[in-house]
Amino acid sequence: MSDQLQSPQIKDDNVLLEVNNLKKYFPITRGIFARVKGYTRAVDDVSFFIRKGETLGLVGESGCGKTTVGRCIVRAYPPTGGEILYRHDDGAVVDLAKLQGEELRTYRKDIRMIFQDPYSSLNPRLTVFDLVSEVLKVNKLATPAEMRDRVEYLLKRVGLRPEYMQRYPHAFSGGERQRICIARALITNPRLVVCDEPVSGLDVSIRAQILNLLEELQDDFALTYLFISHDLSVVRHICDRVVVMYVGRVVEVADSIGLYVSPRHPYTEALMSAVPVTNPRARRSGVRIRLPGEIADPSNPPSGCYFHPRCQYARSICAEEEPALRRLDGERYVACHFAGELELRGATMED
Amino acid sequence: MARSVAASFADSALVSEHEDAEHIKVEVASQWQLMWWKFKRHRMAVIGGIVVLIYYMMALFAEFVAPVHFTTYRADYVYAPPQQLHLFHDGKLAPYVYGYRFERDPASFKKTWFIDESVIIPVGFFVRGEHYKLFGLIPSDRHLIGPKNPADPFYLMGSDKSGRDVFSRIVYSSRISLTVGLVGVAISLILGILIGGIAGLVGGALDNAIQRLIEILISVPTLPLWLALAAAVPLDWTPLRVYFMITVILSLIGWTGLGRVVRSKFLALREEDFILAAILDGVPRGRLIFRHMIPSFLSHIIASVTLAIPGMILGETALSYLGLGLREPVVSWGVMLRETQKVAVIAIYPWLLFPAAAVIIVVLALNFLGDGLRDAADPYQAK
Amino acid sequence: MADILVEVKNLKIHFFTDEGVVRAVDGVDLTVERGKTLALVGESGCGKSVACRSLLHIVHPPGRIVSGEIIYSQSMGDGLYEKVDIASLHPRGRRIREIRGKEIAMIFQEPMTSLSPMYTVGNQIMENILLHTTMTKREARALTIELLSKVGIPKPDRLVDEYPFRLSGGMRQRAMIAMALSCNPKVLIADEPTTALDVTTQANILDLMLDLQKQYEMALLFITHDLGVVAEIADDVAVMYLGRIVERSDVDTIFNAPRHPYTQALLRSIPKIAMKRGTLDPIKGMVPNPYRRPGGCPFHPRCPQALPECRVLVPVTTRLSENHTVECLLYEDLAARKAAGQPR
Repeated sequence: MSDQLQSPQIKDDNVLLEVNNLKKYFPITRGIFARVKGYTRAVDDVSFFIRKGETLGLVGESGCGKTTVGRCIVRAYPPTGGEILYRHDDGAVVDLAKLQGEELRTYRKDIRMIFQDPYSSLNPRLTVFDLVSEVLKVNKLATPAEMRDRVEYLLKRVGLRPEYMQRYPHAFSGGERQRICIARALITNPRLVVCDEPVSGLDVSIRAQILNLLEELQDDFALTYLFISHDLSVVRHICDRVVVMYVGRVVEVADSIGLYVSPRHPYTEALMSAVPVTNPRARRSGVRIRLPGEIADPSNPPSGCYFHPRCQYARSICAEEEPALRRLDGERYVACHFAGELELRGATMED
Repeated sequence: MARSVAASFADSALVSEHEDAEHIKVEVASQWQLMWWKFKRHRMAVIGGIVVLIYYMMALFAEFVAPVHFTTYRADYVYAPPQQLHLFHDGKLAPYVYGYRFERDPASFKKTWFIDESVIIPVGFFVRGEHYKLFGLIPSDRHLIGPKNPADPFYLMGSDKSGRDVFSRIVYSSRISLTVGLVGVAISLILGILIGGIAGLVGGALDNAIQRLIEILISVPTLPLWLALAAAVPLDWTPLRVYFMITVILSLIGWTGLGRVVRSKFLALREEDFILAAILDGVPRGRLIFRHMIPSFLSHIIASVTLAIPGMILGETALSYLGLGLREPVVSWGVMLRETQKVAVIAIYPWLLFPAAAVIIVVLALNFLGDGLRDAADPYQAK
Repeated sequence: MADILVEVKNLKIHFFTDEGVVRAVDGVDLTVERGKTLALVGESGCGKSVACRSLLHIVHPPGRIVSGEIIYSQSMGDGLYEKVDIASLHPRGRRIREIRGKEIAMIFQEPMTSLSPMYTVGNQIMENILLHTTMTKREARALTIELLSKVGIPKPDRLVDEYPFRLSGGMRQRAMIAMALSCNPKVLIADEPTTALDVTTQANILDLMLDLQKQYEMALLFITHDLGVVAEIADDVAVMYLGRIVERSDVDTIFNAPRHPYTQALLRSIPKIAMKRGTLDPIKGMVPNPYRRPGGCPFHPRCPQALPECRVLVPVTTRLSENHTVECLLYEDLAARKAAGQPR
């Protein structure tokens, strides 16, 4: 672990954000005096990095901790442990996990978030202008005239008519609201945007609009995205690399083609097998992997490898020893005792 | 590229080109406007609101509305029955009431008054009458309604045991009875928001402690408490002091309802995404509370307050009726109702119960108004 | 044996609200056949949920069936069938209650809220059994445990006495399926049953439903917005938009040779795992405000192939082949339409 006195370092110049051994535990309280009985290990030793300009996907099912990782990165709450190393424009590196108060304030404009539910992430009592410009106002980043111009510009960029800025959120549809959220996220010219399931709450035909918009804006604004989602088709479409999580841990990291075509972790294989294929002719080719049991409970996880009770390839070592995340080759990292040895099947390609 | 995205929206903006003015109104409407529209549709609430407004106007302009002062008495018109107001005389608009005649009981020499239809007392509006000073400043002698000849007896709701006009006393009573509610509710409001807000925002052990405190306060039996306090109040205190004492006592216990509501609203809001978004924007605590959180439930507070006032009114009426609250010469509906504690009185002089009707009407009206406000309070729900 | 179990003819369901009338379902024809799966696909506001609820006559006020028929062929034994028009039954009468839960069963989207938290899982399933059969309580309990095991719930003899909050989302959905199957229904309606579930759980539930469908020879009416799920399980597909069925055919045709511009646009706009990365092709605009429907064809403002006539004429159902219908002016004989003079 890094020396406390030394300033944090990111080895690779291209990396914008590096997460090392991130942990976030939530206490479980019982009884009338709220005594702490145990912890839900929402994020349990997670490490990955994001390169400048890329879109990193973070996938997993319920309880995997992907949303919590996103919230730790934007510092919605302080992590229980680990580092979140962020590289400034000028090259200086800082550990976001340790910042507080005023120092943390200055980073709020560099790392912004887009939420999942466009209906609950906009305060219904404020106008669109108020909502989008609030961050500028409280951080004194612009004069009132500049604020107006910037809001107008951003609303146009996301495809909304600027004269709508005096309206209230209830006047807009789901897709339009999400555009407002995007405008709000980008108004500070951030470098990293954490997108927490940005299209999951939208109609199927609107998702494409928003995904296209996000891609376009990434080019124009030189953005880096952390794209959190449970929808593997969307992630395949928009992400360069993908991190797969299971019950608070990273099980696999790969580039997005590789992950789908040749997964290296049994859980990833099961995920790929479970994704419904949009081609009826591909239906019965290949038997689907049926995972027994249920997703493990983050407050009481199994021993060793969390996935071992459900894994068809598990052997005795899997229950005893926790597999470390090892680099296999190139972009590939896998946390499995038998990584590289197993012959695993990829997702059914449709044509 | 940018154009393709903007164009994709501009086309859907085409759909909204068919917007008529009505639709645009809804979209730029603020939450207050939406609330008002929803409220207007609730007919009983609107009627309630109008009635409440009339009552408060009556309290404000009591000297003008009431034909005589509440202490004015005429010993020769004791327990006079109410005179019904007739508007048309011989086909013309000429309001009048019938006069009185009396019979003397030969055994007790007691006078009993009866309506005498042979005596016509003309009644006018904006007539001259007793002198008074409106708000203590503006001298006048005009009254809303009264006998054209100030010497004539005029008792729209009859007179009481001292010959005082019941109607005038009801009008003056509204001042006390309606305002005791306001002062008490104001204190409850401040306490409720402060304590409930702290509980909801801070959470944890403090929240736990405050909740237990609320539960203890609620379980205190109120009537014995009032009795004890009434016994403790020194007899030499002026009625005004007693009045304030009562409101303070009532509100020290009454804040709990509002406190719970405020607490639960804050707790719920803390979990909302839009509050997290504001925190991530860097909004400081104070601004978060006042600009982002409170407007969300301000309307609920208004509704709760409006529903808390009747409780205060009934509380004061009950206390005064029992003799634990206000006393003569101060007049309130409860004080007036003290005279009705004998069955004989109600049987023979039923018009002394009019103050009860006044209470019932205003409490009902406030309840309807509060219901309407509460339904309108969340214009974004139940779409 | 009757093959067509439910036949819906020209069903119209309107919602009468303060702001106006919403024509949630506006002239829908459907057939549900034994042993086959019909997927009803559409986005929010298309009316698919409302249409399916009407099959059990559970449309909530201010919604009401204003016209149309829902003919259910009920087996009377001995190969005899009685046809009942569900739309004409009293919503709280005895006849419809004989059908609900016994002939036609339904499972809902949110497993969290569709099981009552006040009663145990076993109790709720047994209630359905006891209502529709003459079994004793003991027999019903035994059947319940058997059903729970059939739907893949572990330790069913213990779980039968648990309350729903003890179960995970996937387990609750399995319990719901067990409840729906408890009286061997002929038709199972599933309203987005896997939308709220994780993808691995979804895969298991879908496999389970297909297995059970084969076992019980049920007709399955499956509502969803997820085209991947449709491709996996459907035999036939009906695509809905703003209360009308714009295209209906077998699943292969819908995915590989769709005719209606909305179906085509929908398929183009979703990301698929196999496709190359590049811009997706979205459908422009949004689903219109239900209080202000566009005139003519409801899809015309967003249609890339709209004709000038689409603004005015409402399309009628055109039969393209035996099992393929479409509602689009592109496939109609416009000259004949104009000659007839009437838009509808």
